[in-house]
Amino acid sequence: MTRKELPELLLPAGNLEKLKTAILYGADAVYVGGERFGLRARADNFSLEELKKGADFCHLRGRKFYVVLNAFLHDKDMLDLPDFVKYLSEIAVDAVIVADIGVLKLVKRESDLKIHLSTQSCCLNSYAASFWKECGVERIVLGREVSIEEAQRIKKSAEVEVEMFVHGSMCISYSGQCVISNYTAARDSNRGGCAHSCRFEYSFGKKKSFFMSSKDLMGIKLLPLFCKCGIDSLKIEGRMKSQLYVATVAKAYRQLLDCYDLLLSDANLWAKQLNEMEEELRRIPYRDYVDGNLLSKAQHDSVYYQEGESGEKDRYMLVGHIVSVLQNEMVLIEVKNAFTVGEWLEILPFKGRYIKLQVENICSLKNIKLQKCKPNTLVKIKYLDGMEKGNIIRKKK
Amino acid sequence: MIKIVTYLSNHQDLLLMDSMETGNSIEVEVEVILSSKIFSLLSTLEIAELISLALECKKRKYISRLLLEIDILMTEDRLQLFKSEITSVETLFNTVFDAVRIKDLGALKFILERYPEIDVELILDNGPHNLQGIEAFVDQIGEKLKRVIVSAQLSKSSLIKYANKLKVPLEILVLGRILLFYTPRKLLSYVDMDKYAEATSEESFHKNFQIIESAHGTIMFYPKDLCLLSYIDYFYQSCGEKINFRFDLREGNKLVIFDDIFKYFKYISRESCENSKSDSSDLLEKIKNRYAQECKTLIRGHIEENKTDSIFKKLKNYHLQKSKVDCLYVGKVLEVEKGSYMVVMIENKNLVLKVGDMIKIINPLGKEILFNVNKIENIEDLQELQTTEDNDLILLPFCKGVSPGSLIYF
Repeated sequence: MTRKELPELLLPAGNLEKLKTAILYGADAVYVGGERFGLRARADNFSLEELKKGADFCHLRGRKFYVVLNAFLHDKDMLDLPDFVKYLSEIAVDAVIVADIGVLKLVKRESDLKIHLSTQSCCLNSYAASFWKECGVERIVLGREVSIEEAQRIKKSAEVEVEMFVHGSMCISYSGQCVISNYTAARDSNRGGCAHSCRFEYSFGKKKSFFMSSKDLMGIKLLPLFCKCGIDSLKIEGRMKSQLYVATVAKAYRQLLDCYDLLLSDANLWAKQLNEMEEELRRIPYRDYVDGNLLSKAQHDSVYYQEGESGEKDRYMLVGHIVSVLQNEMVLIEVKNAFTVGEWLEILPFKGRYIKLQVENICSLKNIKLQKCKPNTLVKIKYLDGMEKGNIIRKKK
Repeated sequence: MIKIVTYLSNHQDLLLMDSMETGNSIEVEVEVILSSKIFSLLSTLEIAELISLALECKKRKYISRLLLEIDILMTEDRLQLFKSEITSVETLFNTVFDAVRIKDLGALKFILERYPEIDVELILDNGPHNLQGIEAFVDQIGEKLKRVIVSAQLSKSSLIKYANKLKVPLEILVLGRILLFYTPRKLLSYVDMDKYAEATSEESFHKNFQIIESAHGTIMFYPKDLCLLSYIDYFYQSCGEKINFRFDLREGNKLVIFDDIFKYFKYISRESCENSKSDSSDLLEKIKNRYAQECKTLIRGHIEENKTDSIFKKLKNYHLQKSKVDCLYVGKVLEVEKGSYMVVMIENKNLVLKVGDMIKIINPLGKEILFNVNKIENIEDLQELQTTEDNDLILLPFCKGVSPGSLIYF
């Protein structure tokens, strides 16, 4: 399969920095939010100028750039939307992701933008998909309750592109059907204010449990099935997640998609690659992985219910990223978490296995030698073959 | 005509309703919702019981319309099953059931295609929350859509505006439990609990959630019920029969108060001249008190004003939001070395920063600092520059009060 025949790999980008990371590590497309109309009120999100920069960055590299407008808006929220939609049209956004039919109609009226239906609309079957297609939707991000095999039938029956979540956190509720935050925190969960009440520990008398906290989705081993079933786009969850998450997930899924043909010729090598990538995905924070509803309905093992254990595993941390390679002798790093001389770092190249590096020297911008560096600084360390501008650096916790 | 919509769960409920004085009104109509456990989150009726109850309801003259509710969401496999299940009640369409109320858009579309003669009502209990959205559903579904059941997130001003503009009536929940979420997963079974439980977290306001598990998954209710009784008169005077009022009295013995509700509606409709204003207030209090025997605390929800977005501006540092001044934005401070330098990322390709420029720096606390650029250095080789380009990383001399994350503007 050529890259064009493979499903699109769609990454989240909470800000411009993460967008670049996603694209450099292999995303075919990214989805981002503007400062309003999306579902992540707390995310950095993109200013108008950043949206233009993001679109340009993607288009220059032949990738796609989608903007989420997936909040359920109230009347007053709709007032400024026409101007924003016109702006998105001007900067040649490839599609907008919409949940609210009022927003959908407004986008149709104000622009020629392609419309993808957000998973928040909870489209779960072929009749619903046909309904939305008749409304002008070109692609449907199916609810996370739909299996791959069901998605194949929905696509065939409704003759519409289908996108499925393949990796990341999952709502325990049907998406768009939860209003816990609206009543407990006065924050509209469907306008970006979700307070994540489902992640709390609850007691039933003496019994305690994280009974509403869903484990995370990981569908990497099912990539062959996604391909076989003609799923158009594979979506990674996580606009609030870190640059390390974006890089790791993009790289793992890209690498395995790109060696899809290997599956037919050398199943053992494929399995080895799969194991390696699964191991990589366990190096980012996660709450235990499950395959959700991708094969069959999620069961009891899809939820954390142990007392006193939130479940999140977090073994590695982001050190920073390479801002510049200085004459193949040093690299300049924007430091997000401190490290010291003697520590082992791991550099994630855009392709291939990670590079291990024991820090021998740290230099400030003014070439002063340091024993350790601080977060939010720029420092220089030794260059090794394979390091490139934009590479992410991590270390064990 | 003023319409009350309520649920009956079983034959006992019907007998209870029979015993009430609900048949003597020409201004107040009672519509009854029925369902079966295969179509509904809360019904416990088998199909045969549903049919039997529906046929009995049909004999009651005080029931003006009988409605079949299908409030479950359906994945593709479930919808295929539904297509065969619905045949078990299809003979009742238009003979016994006057309309089908549906939440899942796919199921709705299937019903419209397979049974073009039956009227439908659309359950939009989680939105849209704007007029354009609700209008779009009404237009898209067409003339068979006879009513929309709207969200409890809507304020009274929105409801009145929508009711007076839409082609079909709205239905609102006036009294009953507030559904917080719905999942297909069997959350109580997973923790070896019964099919009903109360869950409490140590987090504020997360106490005594009622949780119910059924064949369709798990639902959770807010511990306080919604009560908009005191708004009924206002809505009726503002919109007449364009707003219909739903009472969800399925839990416990709540249905026993229906006779007082009916009396109150007669007063609202001005059909009953007996009640003075003070009588009606007494009646409202009586209803609330009787209801309170079943449910503790009542709330008005978002009916006065929906403020669930007002806290958003506190979730982020708005000093560091740059949309309104995008065109004058120069870049961001990445690092500050006290007494020595600041590292700046230039992030505007339309502006050129030059030596001699006066810039404004806004730090994360919102403090604005004016700064004269008297020196620019390239970060890689520390060579002095006269101007910058987009995406350049440069060094500027240190400026007191500036910290990483500060934004720079002309």
